[in-house]
Amino acid sequence: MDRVIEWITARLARQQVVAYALLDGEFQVLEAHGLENVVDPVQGGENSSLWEHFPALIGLEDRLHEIVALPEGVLEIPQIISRQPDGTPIYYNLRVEAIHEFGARLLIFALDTTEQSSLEQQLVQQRNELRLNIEARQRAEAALRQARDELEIRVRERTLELEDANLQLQALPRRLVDVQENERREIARELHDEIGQVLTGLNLLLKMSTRLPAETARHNMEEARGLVHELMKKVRQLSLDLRPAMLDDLGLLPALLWHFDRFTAQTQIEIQFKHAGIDRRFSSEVEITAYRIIQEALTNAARYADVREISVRVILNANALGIQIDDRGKGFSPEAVHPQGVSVGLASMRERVASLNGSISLDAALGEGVHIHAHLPIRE
Amino acid sequence: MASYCIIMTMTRTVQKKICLLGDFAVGKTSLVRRFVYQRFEEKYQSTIGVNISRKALQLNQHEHMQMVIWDLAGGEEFSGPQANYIKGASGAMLVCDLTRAITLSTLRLYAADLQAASPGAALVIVANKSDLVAQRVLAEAQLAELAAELQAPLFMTSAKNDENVEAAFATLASIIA
Repeated sequence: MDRVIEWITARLARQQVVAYALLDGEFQVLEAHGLENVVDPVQGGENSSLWEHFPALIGLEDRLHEIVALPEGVLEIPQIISRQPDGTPIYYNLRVEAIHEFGARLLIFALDTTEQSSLEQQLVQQRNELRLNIEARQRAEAALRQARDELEIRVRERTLELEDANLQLQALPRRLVDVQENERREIARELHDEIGQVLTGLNLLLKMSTRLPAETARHNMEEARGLVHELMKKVRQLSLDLRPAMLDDLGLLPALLWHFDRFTAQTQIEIQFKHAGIDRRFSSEVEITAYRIIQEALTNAARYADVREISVRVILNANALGIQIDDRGKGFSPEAVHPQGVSVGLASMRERVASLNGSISLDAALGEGVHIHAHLPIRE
Repeated sequence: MASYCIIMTMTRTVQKKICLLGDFAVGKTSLVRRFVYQRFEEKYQSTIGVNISRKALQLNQHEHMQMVIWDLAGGEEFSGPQANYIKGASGAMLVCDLTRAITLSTLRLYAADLQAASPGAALVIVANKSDLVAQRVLAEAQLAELAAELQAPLFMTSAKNDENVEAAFATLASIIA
């Protein structure tokens, strides 16, 4: 055995060998030294075989048989890490060589590369940390780019909104004049066509009565009374259209119920009305705004929607009045109605709502009906 | 004369080599440390070469496995002597980092290297660092796509919080047993 050790020592003299083993053709250990330096104890098992001494060779059994068969067969596994009991790493290259001395077939030895591998580990550590820093920086830059892009998109959207609002603001005085002129025109037409004509008829009737026999004059007076009655009715109607006294006297809910009855009688369109919390008084501004929004929406629906039914909901929440008006009629394309997508009626609604710091939205499309939602803050 | 009934229980122990493959700093060493030693270290320590650990597993009443775990350096090219790192492996864990997208795309290359060196080796895909929820960039769909492509089970793990680590190794062990 001394001769074997002497031979192995001479064979490995120039190399920093930390462990070795000499094996026969059946992979039985003939001689071994320093294996405890390179083999960690197995977790949960016990060392019992060659493969326990050289776990790095598990899975390479076929390759070992090939090496045994070759005159100068070699297998090398570089940079295996093992740890001393105090945790200090040892790096070694495991080398398997075919030999034909002393009945042995394989010489397995571990060459210590700790010094150079430790230096390499430090370099790799620095390189990897640098790469991780670069990756983190790239991720941060990408996140910044994305945030900047999103901000630019929001700025563009906000700019467009501001431009649109500015256009609407510029158009507001003209629209208000339009609204005012429309109302005046309507009143003038009512006065001329309806009331003026009745008054003319009444005037003629009264003039003629002075020249007629008493019996005929009495008949004319009856007719004149009928015209006066009709005239009073028209004046009341006109007055109600301008501002229903019921709204001021009794409040929103009675005024709406009265308006719905009148609307249905005139148009044959049923109103599905749901309400909550509005059987009380609100400020005059809130009541007239809510009333006008609903009045305008119903008038538009009667003119354009071609429906038999309209849904109106007025709900009082904690600090606001929510109004929802829906019809399932023809609908319309908002852009087609007005260049900025805003009709005079809706503009009027918006102005009223804005003055209360509320909001209003109109959702309409051809064939999809019209859906109006308003939110009116109330001040107690 | 007394008679005796002798019951002999035969226990089979198999030894299997598995490799952990994936880019640097995805947590391969942390997974092994958690599985084998039930420890976790916050500090990142780069691996060079190969760190070989072993753990005995009981597969069932009659079968044990000694799993030889090769924790390989990330970014390794398996040519020359380094090819022996993955030769003879029965299976491998392909490990990516849920917070770094690039670590998923390279797994296909590792899978190809492994199949060339050890044809038929089983695979398990491990998406590690599931504890870093806010930094996560990899979507489950991306991982599922790779898992389907490689026909490998997929596990979301956290070596730090000890989530799914045992399950991933146990699944690989049951496939290669």
